[in-house]
Amino acid sequence: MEPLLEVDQLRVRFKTKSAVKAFFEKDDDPYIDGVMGVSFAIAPGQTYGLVGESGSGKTTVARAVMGLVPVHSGAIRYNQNNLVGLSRDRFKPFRKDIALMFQDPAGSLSPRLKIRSILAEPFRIHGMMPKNLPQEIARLLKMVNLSPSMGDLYPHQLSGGQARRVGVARALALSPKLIIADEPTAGLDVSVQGEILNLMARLQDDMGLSFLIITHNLAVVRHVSDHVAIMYLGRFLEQGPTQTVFHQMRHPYTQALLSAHASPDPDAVHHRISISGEIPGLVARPHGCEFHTRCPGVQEKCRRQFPDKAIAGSDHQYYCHYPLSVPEN
Amino acid sequence: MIESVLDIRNLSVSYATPRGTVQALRRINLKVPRAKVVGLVGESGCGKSTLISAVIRLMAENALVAAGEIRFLGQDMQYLSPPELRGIRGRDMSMVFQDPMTALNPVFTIGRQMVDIQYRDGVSKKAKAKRAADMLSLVGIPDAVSRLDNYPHHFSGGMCQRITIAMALLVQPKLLIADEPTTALDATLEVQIIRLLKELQADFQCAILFISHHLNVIAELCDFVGVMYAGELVEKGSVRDIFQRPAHPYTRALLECDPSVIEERTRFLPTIPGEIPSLIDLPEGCIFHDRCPKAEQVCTKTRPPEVSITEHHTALCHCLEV
Amino acid sequence: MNWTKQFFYRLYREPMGFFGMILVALVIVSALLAPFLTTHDHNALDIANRLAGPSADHWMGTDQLGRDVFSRVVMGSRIAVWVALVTVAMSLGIGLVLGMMAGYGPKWLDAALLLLFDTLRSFPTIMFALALVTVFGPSLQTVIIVIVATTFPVYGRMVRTQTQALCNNEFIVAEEAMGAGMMRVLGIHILPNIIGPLFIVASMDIPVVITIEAGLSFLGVGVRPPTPSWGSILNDGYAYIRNTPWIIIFGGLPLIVTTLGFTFLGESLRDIFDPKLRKDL
Repeated sequence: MEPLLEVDQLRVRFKTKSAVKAFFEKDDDPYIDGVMGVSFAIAPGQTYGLVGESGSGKTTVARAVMGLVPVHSGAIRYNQNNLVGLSRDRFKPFRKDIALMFQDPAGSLSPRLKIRSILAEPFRIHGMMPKNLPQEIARLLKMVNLSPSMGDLYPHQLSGGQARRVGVARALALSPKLIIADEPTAGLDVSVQGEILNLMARLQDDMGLSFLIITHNLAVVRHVSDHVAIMYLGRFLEQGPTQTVFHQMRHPYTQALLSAHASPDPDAVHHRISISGEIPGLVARPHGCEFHTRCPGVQEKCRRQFPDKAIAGSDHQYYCHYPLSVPEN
Repeated sequence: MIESVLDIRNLSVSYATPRGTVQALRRINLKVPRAKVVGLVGESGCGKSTLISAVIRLMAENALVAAGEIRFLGQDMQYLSPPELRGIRGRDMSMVFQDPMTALNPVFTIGRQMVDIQYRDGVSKKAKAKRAADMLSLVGIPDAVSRLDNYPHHFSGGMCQRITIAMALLVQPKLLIADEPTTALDATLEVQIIRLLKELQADFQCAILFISHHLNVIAELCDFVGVMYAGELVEKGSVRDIFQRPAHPYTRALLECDPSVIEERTRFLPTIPGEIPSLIDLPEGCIFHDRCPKAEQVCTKTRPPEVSITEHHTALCHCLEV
Repeated sequence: MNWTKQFFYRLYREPMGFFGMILVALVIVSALLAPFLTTHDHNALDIANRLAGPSADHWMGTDQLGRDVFSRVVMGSRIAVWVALVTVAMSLGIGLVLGMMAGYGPKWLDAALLLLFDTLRSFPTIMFALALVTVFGPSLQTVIIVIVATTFPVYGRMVRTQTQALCNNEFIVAEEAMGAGMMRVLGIHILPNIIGPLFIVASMDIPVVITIEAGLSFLGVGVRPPTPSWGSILNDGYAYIRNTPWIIIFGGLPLIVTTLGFTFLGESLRDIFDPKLRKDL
């Protein structure tokens, strides 16, 4: 099947100083790399999970797909149309098909507008006012299990879960094909987190939506996504089908991330693959393999050069000089 | 008998608001024993923050302690004067906050801040700086002596949280109150901080009141656990009681919701249907009855008593199956 | 929740704010009803009665041409209030538009507008006024242009900073992700979030503007005689301050009343609109 969204060698660079300043300081490379060439594809009706610690560049990937940050090189193809380099006006039609859901449930809703006006925004922006707007808004609210009377409230009067559901309703307004969800469960309680994920799953079943879910929560990704990529400092260190990556991981970072999870059993014995320290900043990008500063199995070669792509199985790829052996069974 | 550092008895706190009186905490009984870690777990709106502000007695202007007492080292905090309270805070009792980046003053070096909080001690500045450096290396900051001259923005989030922990322990408190100290951190850092707290607690033998909405962190760190829901402490017991033999339906539901405990990949995750009740018009009977799968007639009528399951394990519920 | 009722209730509870509001109301009422409040024609000369002290007929005495000071002060409030409202509204409008453009627009536009703001702000008001007067001659319009040109950059800079801060919020990114244009983002999502604090600053600027106008008129580069302005009344009285101080006293009194009134009101508004206090609404 043709992928709905295909990202090919996407590279995003941020300017660190103005051209004039760079010229006078004889800095011929006044850039830092946010995303260093990532490729992935999302099939219709599927969910792709993007996992990484904060500072790994996962939100930048989402914003690049939405055309909100300039792309340095690479291609982003939506239904075979390359979105890279499109003008604001040429991009606009695609914004009906790709919707973005935000990390901060209440902060992504305009604070001075009522919920009703917030939900009308997508229609207004695209000049597609439905004949009966109040009815349409009630339908959207009902779709996310909110009562239509919520339309009269302001964002600060909602609970975290309710605000998140309004965010889902807004994303759904123009019947998109792909929803990019940036940390859909961040800041939510566990009992509410399930509600939002179930709602997304139900909508996927009903409407054939595709999702790109960006999160640091591996437990969530394991349940909801078909494919997953593990991101670190702007690179996908490992990517593949969720089950494969979780059970036959080859990259030490994947293993470390998976073991860095507290367990609800007080008597559990932890076999933690300890990775010390923290993700280095984009400015201080390490040479060679970016993960070598924290890797438990680091060798001389890792400090010198970044490993080539290795293919472990169908769709399963990783970048490591000394990969883990595949566990038995 | 376990000697308690902190003993909260029958505490009720309410807020006066234009819409009515919010009964934020109702009849809380909780003990923090000497040199033990007590975890408080609950979702947003359960009253965790109100409880902390009542314990450190830095409450909002419209808050009122309606009943009960908070005894810290045997003294009732309510009858202490502001200077006496200041003498307790930052000496016998210290705190670690959720956001490490805002807990440190950005315009002073961390060395200066760590020396400043020892202002009550009559030792030389040099000795204080030495103590600060020792503490920093203890919390795992390499090259501690030279890093004392750095400003908070030179450190990453995880490092800043280590520094705030170092500062909190520098005064050798009897009680450390940790308010969601790992929430703002990534998972790999979260386990690092938990391990650090565990090691330091063993060294310093201070009691910790650890507040979190993250069940697994509580399971890993704490000796005793209290579960809060809508302003009540619905269940409390040892960490094994709570995680291996949960009694209250809310605790059970909460444990089931955690996606990491579900081994098999599922498309739909368990949830607790319904919303937290309004704390202005409290429902009659059990606070959880409208969301409880086991609610019976009696649950909608009378408030459940505190039922003892074992010596330290109690729950507020009419229909316990033990 | 009744917004206006809440607002007035809070203002009533702030004694200084309430006092300020009364003073402001006094000035505005006298400006509106000036022709009905005056006891004499404010330009009528009465040389026989020049420099007379306060009496039952002339409540505030007369000036060197025998004109009734009370009537001139009341008529002067028209000029003062008119100049203040017009200039503050214009400064606010220009500052809002340029500031939002600087804060939301491209980097080069931001740099260019900032340069404009800083350049205009670096002119001393009086020098700027004198320069304009030599070109256009003294008039009410010159006064308004001078004041607007020197105050709008303050609003512009404030609006720019607030716009930039708001742009980092997710609800703005959300709008952009849906394809909203610049006008929509600025008008519907940014403007309502920054306008409240601006009104407070504006209300505290009104007395400043009134004093500048009075100052310019006092120096003779403002409102042309015989139109009464508080500044020109002061200027007239200045020469006779030794023997007949009431002209200066009664000419200065409304200036003090207005300044105090708007300042008290503005400060209370700031307290009332403070987001921390607003939360419990």
